[in-house]
Amino acid sequence: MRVLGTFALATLVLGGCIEGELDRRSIIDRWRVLAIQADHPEARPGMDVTFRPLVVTPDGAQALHGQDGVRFEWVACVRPEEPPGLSGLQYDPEDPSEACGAARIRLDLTTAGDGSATLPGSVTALAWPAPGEASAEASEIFGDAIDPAVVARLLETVGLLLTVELTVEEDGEHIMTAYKRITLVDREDLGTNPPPPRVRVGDTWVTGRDVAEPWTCEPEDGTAPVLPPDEEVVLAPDPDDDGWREEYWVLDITGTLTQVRERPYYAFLSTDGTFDQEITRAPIREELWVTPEEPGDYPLWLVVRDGHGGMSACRATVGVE
Amino acid sequence: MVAAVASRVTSLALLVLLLGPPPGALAQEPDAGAPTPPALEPPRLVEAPALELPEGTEPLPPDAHVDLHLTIDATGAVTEVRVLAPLRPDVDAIVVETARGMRFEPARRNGEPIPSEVPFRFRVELPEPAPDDTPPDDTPPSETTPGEEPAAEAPAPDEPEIVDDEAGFGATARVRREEPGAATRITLRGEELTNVPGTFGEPLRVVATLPGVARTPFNLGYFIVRGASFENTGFFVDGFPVPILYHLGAGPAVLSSRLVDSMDFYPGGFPTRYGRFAAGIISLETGAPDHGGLHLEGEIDLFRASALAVVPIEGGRGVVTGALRRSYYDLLLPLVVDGLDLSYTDWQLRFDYDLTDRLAVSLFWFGSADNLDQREAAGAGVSDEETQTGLEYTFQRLIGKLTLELPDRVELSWAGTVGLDGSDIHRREPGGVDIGAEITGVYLGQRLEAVVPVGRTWQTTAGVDVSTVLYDAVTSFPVPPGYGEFPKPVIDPQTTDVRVEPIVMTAAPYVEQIVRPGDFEIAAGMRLEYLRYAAFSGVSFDPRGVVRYAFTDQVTGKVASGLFTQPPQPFQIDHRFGNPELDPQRSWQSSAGVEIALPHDLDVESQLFYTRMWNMARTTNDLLPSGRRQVFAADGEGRAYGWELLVRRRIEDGLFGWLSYTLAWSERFTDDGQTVPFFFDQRHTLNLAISYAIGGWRFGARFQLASGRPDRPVLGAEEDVDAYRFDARRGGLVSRLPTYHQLDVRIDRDFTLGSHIEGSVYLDVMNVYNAENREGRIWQYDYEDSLALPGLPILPTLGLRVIYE
Repeated sequence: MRVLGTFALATLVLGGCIEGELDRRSIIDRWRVLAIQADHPEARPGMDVTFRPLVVTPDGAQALHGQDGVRFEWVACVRPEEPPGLSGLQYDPEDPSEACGAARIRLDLTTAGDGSATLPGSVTALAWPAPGEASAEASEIFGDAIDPAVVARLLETVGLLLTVELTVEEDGEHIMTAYKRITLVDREDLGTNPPPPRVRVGDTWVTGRDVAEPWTCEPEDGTAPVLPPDEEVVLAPDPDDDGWREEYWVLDITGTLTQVRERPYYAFLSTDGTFDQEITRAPIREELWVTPEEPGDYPLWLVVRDGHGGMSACRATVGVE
Repeated sequence: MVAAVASRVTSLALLVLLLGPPPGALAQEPDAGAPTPPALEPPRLVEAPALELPEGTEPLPPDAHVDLHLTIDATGAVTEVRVLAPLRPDVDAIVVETARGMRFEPARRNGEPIPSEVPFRFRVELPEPAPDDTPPDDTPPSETTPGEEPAAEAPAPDEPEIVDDEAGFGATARVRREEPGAATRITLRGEELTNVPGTFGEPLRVVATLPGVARTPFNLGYFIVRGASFENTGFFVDGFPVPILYHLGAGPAVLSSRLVDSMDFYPGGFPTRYGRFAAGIISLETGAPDHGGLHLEGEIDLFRASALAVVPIEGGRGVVTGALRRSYYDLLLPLVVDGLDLSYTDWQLRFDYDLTDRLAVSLFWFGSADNLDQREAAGAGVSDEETQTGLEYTFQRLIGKLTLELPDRVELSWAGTVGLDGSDIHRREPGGVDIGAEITGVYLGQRLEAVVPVGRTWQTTAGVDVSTVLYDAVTSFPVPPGYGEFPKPVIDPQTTDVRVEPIVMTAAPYVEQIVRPGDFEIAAGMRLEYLRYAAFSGVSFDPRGVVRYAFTDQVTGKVASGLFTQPPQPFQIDHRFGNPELDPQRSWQSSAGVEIALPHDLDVESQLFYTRMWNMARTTNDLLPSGRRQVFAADGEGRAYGWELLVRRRIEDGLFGWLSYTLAWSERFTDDGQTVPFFFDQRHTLNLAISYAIGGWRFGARFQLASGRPDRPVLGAEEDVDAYRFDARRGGLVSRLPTYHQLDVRIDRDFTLGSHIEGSVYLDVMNVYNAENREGRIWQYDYEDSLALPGLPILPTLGLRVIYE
């Protein structure tokens, strides 16, 4: 404890001595995968699960599969090396990547015209047998390292993970790779995504609800928000928008099965300006944005995550003048 | 280098000339035949510190002595020592230092104490083997252990000894050599502890320059010794462990350097009297500072101020020492880092008293308090006024010690301690998350030891070392994530309030037997470590042995091997959030080397070492049959091996210094059978420290050159959309941070004001040429770019030390 404390002190003191500046993740100036929405983030074995990506280019435009040489490639995988990894717990901070690169079992998915992909129920059923069934298949997947009884227990309580990886290419060149998880669980009350965001930008409310275009937020009064340049503006998600938070089960460190409620995390991004925080932490939801100095129209993205695989996102256009 | 054999001898210091005239008084010859007390009584020696000659001291001629001229004040303290007739430079310097610590019954005129000046012959004799053990005809000079002179007389008298010969003066000398049961012990004392550049006069920071010690990032007060982790090296004060030796923020030691009599550093293979650590030991032996009566001392520099007072009582039979130090970082740091409040305080109060000539008692109370309060996060782009971090460390110890010296050099000692440790760590995050721990620990310990020498060839040491630590921790800490939890987009721990009260009890009887057949010295010992904590109870058998062989008077070879046991950390054995059945860590340390005494007072020590470590606690998330997670498992393994070299010149003609070099590999074995370097593995560590005194000036420099620690290269990154972060893909090929290099310099200037005040002004500059050493790397969110985490910049301090006697 003392050693860690001393290290922390050294880092704090010397943190102020670091020269230079690093790019911040809230500013879009390169290819980014801002969201992958799974429908649903929790599924029972045998259910279809569809994945829709929100990918943006360095200039802030949305990248679409099949246009301008852009291609999306999807792979599903399981990483059965350790029970914690199966359950979503990150257990090895030294080697944190949980993407499909090193997975033993990989399944290519077909990319639809809109860039989405669907994991068919036949796959989820095959890969994740119900408790008491097909332990031979479980052994096939998990090898000898994992006790099938552990797999069965996880499946009927907190769920088992399946990872889906998205690779973005442009003109045949690899651009980036992103991944997300879904939980396969043998329960009736499955978790869902948060609803599209509703947020106040300055004095204007914008929302992604009841909007035909996916990943889009529109002003509720029909007039896009206009903000002064180089001005600190409050970005405030709807404080009453809290009913979507669901509960899920966790097998805690003492072996007790406990119910945990989702927590909202809001991330705002744009192509310019300065955000005070990279992402909010409950109960704080508001963000401060120092608007760009140069007048013009700027994209403003809001991504809301529920901390358990569910997410929604939308893009609004903000005028600065 | 240190000598191969521990032995004690005495010598006589004789007054050969009559009392000199005291200042301001006319000297008179004492009238020995007068029936009434003479008008002028000479001073009489009542106490003399042990004279310790370094191992490897070349043989002395018969009737070796140094003639001195002493100035003694009215309290009986020696205020000035001049050499009238030198013997040999290496011995002269130590004799002068020892003479300064002698205490006299002052000269008296008509019964009133007065100052005086006397010539004084300090005779030094080296050890003499007992006739029944090593008959002279069986032990020719060429076969004796280095540093000893053959002799055919009876064993030397007990030590310390006050010899009241016809001249009325006497002194003792002790040859301090390598501890037989220790594979390697490096002892530093005097100027070697306080005048090394870059340490700001702090003796304990000198450890960082010794062989076997890897460089520590940011000069933190913890050490990577022979490839083991920080917590595997223990800090001891007078035989009992203490939690820290340094204050926070690269601060000084928690003890005044003036109270540190000597520092023993065991990079491994320590004797059986020590245990419960799996790597090395840093052991401080404390004592009242040398003084010649009332002694007041103050020191002030850019970062702290300190005061020390030494008050003799009952004519020097006892002494009370008090010291206090307080930093004022809290005034300076806000100029550099907003919202950072750092301060420390330490204190010592010591009482030493000779109950009889053979029975001595001491009580030592010391403690420290460190406080860090940081209200604004810095670095990594995070800044929020609601963030608060606070650290408070306190500890104190009361150590009582009784030492009884029996005839035939048998020594019995008992020591007991009671201590109180406290830690209060808290952090508040935006959003109201409070994380904190308030931990108190009560430490109780006792040690009983007997040292029974029989002649020169046989010595038995036996003892028992008992301790109990009662922890009480009230924590509000982040609950480790459970199965079913995803990585969060931001650090967002859920906290729980928990109180844990683990008790760690240990009892260790130990014995060590030394035999010296011919040119061999064999030390074999056993320590039985009984450990009881949480759900664990068991005994570890830790046999240890050291064999030395004197090839010549100048060259000694040695091999050593032994087992070592260390109980787990308290937080690892909690029954809910730890593993109460966690086994203690073990290590098997072996070494082989040679000690060489060269001309020009140079010592060389070279050795190879190999340490195998197992039962190392590691974090795990394995699911137990009961459904709970294991959290910690004692199945980590590793090894460290390498070569150490120390070339050292002891203080001579004002010059001392050393060069140390360590070539080391420290590796850990992973679950899948791979061997990976330890996080702080450093292949090469080179230190050069040198100091030279001339004409009241002292100049010193220290240079350090060390390999960078391992740094796995980043091959790319993938975006974890759930966690709103990028995960680095790191290569297995290990790269290293850039080579570290740093030069420190120190200049001291001594001064004297009148007859009672002396002192020094010093300038100590760390990292003179402001080398931009990289301690780590701060990565951009997508691992496309990074910034260097710099090490300590140039750091000068100007200090003043004033002594009143």
